[in-house]
Amino acid sequence: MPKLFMPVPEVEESATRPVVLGIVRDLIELTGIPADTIISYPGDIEKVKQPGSANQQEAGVNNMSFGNKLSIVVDEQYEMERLLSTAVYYPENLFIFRDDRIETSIKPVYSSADMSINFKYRTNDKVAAMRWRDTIRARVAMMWDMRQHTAEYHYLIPPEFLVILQELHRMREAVDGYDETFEHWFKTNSTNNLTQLTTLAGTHASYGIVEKQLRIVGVFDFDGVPEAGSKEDEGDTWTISFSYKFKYDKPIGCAMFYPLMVHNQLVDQKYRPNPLVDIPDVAENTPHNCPLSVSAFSAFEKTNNPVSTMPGIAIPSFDEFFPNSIPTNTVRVFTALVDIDPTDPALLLSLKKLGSISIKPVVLDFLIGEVPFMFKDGGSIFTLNLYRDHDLLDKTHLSIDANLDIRATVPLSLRNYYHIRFGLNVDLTLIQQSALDRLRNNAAAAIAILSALDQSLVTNGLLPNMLGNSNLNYISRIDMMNAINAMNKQIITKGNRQQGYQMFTVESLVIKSFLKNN
Amino acid sequence: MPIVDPTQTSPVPQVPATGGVVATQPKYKGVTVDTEYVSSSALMTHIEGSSWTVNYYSQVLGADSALAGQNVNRNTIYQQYKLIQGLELKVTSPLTSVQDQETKAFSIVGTANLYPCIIPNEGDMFLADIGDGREGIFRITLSERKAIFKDTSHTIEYILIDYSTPERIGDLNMKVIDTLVFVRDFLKHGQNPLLQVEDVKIINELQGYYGELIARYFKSFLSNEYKTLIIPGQEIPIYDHFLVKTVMSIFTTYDCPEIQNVRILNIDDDDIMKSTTIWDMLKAKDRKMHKFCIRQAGLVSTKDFIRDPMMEGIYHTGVKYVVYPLDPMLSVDYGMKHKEKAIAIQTLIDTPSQVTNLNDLLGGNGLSGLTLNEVQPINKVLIDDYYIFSQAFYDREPTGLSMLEVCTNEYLDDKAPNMANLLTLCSTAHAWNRLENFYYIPILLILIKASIHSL
Repeated sequence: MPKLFMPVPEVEESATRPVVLGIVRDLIELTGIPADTIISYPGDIEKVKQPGSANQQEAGVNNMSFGNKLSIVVDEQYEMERLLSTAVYYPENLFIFRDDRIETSIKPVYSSADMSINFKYRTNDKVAAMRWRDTIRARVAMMWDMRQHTAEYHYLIPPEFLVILQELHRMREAVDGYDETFEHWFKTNSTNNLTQLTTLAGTHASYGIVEKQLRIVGVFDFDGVPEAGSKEDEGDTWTISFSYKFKYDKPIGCAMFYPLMVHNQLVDQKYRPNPLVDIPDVAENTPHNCPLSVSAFSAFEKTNNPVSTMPGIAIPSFDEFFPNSIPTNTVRVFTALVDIDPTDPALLLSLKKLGSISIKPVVLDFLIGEVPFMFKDGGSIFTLNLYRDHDLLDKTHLSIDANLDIRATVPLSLRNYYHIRFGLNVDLTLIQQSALDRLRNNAAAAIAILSALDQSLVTNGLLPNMLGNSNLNYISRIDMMNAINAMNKQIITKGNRQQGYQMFTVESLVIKSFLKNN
Repeated sequence: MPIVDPTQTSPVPQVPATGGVVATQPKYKGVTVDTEYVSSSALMTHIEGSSWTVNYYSQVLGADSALAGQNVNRNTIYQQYKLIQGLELKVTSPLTSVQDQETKAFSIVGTANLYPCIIPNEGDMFLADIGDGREGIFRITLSERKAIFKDTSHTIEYILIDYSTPERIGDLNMKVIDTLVFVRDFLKHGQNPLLQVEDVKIINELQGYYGELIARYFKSFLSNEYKTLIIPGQEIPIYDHFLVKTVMSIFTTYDCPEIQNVRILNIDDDDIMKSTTIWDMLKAKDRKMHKFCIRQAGLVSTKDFIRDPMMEGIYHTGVKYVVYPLDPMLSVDYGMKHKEKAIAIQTLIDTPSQVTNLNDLLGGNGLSGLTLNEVQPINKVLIDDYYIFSQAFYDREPTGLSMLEVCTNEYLDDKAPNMANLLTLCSTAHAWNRLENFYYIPILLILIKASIHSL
C-alpha cells in the first residue's frame, strides 16, 4: 500500500500569521491595551504596507509616529525534543479523509513550533504605559500571567493528493462503480472541517481544512513585571518591550495512504512507489549489484529485521502487503496480488505461471501430488490462502486442480482486492505424518525445501542424504527428524516464534527470471 | 418582592441637544478654512518625470496581510494581484545597471513617480521593456508617500528581478483577480483613470463612432449655399434654429473643422424662438425642464420675420421656412409687441435613406441582440407632429418608446447607460432615413459623450 508525504503548500499566511495575530489580539484584550492600537507585524520584507492600500482600510489615512502601536517580531523554533517523535505515518492524528471501502486515507502531520512573540508596545504617553504595567503587576499577583489560548488556522490539502484522489475515484467508478461524483465522494468522506478557499474574485478554488487548537498555554517572558521602558522619540510616547511564549502544533504536511488495486485495476505506474526508494525494508532485502561487503552486511542485517518485515516474495515487487493475520507456523514463499479476469472470474492464478518468478521444477513436481491435501490443517507442508483486502478468508474459498490452477469457489467482488499467499509450514512437527512421509519419499524436493527453509542445515551438515536409486529416492526417517529438530532448536533459541520464523527466507525455492518491477 | 422589577424600564438618560452646530455653513464657500474635502487628484496630472508605460501588478492585501514580492511557489489564494495595464510611470532616474565584479550579476535599479490613482507597496511587480526589445520583471523596493494630504502621489524605487520568463509571467497572470486599464485621458478630465477592460473596449468603439458620425453629419447636412445646416430632402430650404444653436454650442472645431462654416441665422426678432426645447434639456441634462419644453412644432415662412436688410434677418438668407413651436410659452411682452405668425400648411416630408442596401443594414452585428418586434431603434421624426421625439416620450409613457428615446431617458434620469443599445444605434445610424439622421445624430453624439464620461 503506497504511503506518501507531501508538505502543505503554504504555512506562513494560513497558519503562522493567523495564530500569532489571534494570540496578540487575545493579549490586547487580556492586558487592557486600547483596542484601536495599531498592530505592526511586517512580513519578510520588514516593511509595513502604505496606509490605505489594503482592502479594509480607509483611504487617505496616514500613520503618525506618536500613537499607540504594538510592533511584533516573531521568533519560531522547532522543538528539538519532539522532532524525532513527529507522527508522520504512524497513528496519532485524526484522518481528514478516509474511505475504508478502497482503503484510502489522508491525515495531517504536525510539527511542534516553539513561538516567541517579541513586543514593542508604544503608548501615547508615559501615564498609559505605567498604568498598563501596574495592571500586569496586579494580574501576576493573581496568577494571571499564564493564559490559555485558542489558535485558529487552516491549511490546504496538497494538490498532489487531490490528483491521486481523482485518479482513484476514476478507477473506482470505472469498474463496478457507485455512480458518485468526485465532489460528492470527496466531501462525504472528508472531515467536517473541510472548506473551500478562493481568491477575492472567486477563482482558484482550493480545498483546505480549518482547525482550532485549544488550550495553548502562553506565558509572559519576564520576572514579575515587564521592564519600565523608556521614552524614545521627540513626542511624549513611552515604549515598553516584553515577550510572550507559547507552543503549538503547526501543520506541515499531510500523509496519504492508498491501495495498489482499486476495483480490480492496478493503479498507474506513476502512482506506485519505487521499491528501492520508497520502501526501505524492501531495498535492504534486495541487495543487487553491490559489493561483497554490503551483501555480507545485509545477510547480518536480515537476522535483525523488524517484525513487520515479511520474508518471501511479493508479486508484483512494489506491493507492500501486510496482512492482518497469517496461518500459524507458516512462512511466505510469495504473495501475489490478483486481478479478476471478467471472462473467467473464478481463475485467480496458476502456480506454473508466476510472471517474474517460477517455482523450482523439482518442487513443482512434488506440488502436484500435494494438491489434494493442501487445504487440510497440517495436511501438507505447503499452505495456500486467499486474502480479501487484508483479511484472511476461509480455506473453503479456494480450490486447486492438478494443473496447479488456483480458483475461487465463491464469487469475488470487483470492489475488493485479493491476494494469494503461498507458504510453507515451518514447524514440521506440527504437520501430519502422512504429509511428512510424502515429503520424505520425494528426496529432491525435500532437500530443496529444507535447504531453502534453513541455510544452516547445509553449513552444519544436517541436510538429509538422498537414498535409493534414480527411480525411487527418499530420505531416512532419522535424517528427517534431525533436520526438523535442528530447525526447531533455532526457533526456540530466538525466544520468540515469530522472530524465529523471520530467519526462514524461502526465496531460494523460486527462480527469479528478471529483476524488474513487473 | 424582587429587588429588580423587570417590568419597569430604566430611565432614559437625558442627552443634551447639540443642535448640530457647525463652524461653517455647508453652502458658503468663502476663504475661511474648513474641513470640507475637495479632491484635487484631478489637478495632479502634471507629475515630474518622463513617461514609461508598464503593466503593473498591485498586491491585493487584507488588513493583516504581509507584503511580499512575487513568490512563484506561493498558492494563488495567498497572493493575489490587481493588474493595471498600460500604467504610466513618471521616471525620475532612469534604469542604471551595475555589474557586481565578483559574481558578475547585474543589478538594475530606477526611480519613478506614480499618479495618485494608485498606492504602491513594496513587493508590487511590473513588466516593462528594458530597452533592447526584451521585457523585464521589476519589483518595487521602496514606496514613499510624497505628502500627507489625502491626494498624493508616491515615489517608487524598483529593481530588475529577471527577464520575463514564461514561468514568472504565467504565475503573475494566474494570480491576477482583476484587470484594469490605465487611461490617461480620464485622469486629465478628473475621472478615475483605471477602467475595466470591457469598458475600455466599449469606449474605444464609441470614440470611433463619435468621430465617424460627426464627420459624416457635417458632410451631409452643411449647405454651402446657405452656410448653415439645412433640413435634408425638402423641396425648399428649411432651417431648424434650435438644432443649429445646439450643434454650435456642444461641438467644437476639434471635433470637426467644418463647424467653423456654420452660421446661426438671425431670427432674434421673435421671442418665441427663445423657447425652451428638448435640446436645452439635453444640454443641461436637467429632467425638470421637461415640463417647459415645447412639444409640437410646425413651419413658419421666413417672410414673417423681420425684413430690415440692416439686421441680416433670415428673410434675406434665402431660407424659406423655419421650424416653429406650436405651443410656446409666451412672455409678457409678446402679446403686446407681436402678432401671431401664421403656421404654414407646408410640413416636413420624409426622405429615404441614402443607404439602400438591405444587407448593409442587417450585416455585421449591427442588429444583434435587438428584438425588432419589441423595440425599434428609432421612431420616425414625422411619426406625429411632436418635435423630434414621439408623443410617448413627451408624455413620459412607459411603452411605445424607441431605443433612442429609452437611452435619452436613461441619460436624463442619470441612470447607467445601456452600452449595448448605444452601440446598436451607432452601428445602424448610417441606414436611417436622412431626416432621422439630421435630428438624431446630434442626440446620439450627446449620449455617447455622456456615457463615456459616466464610466
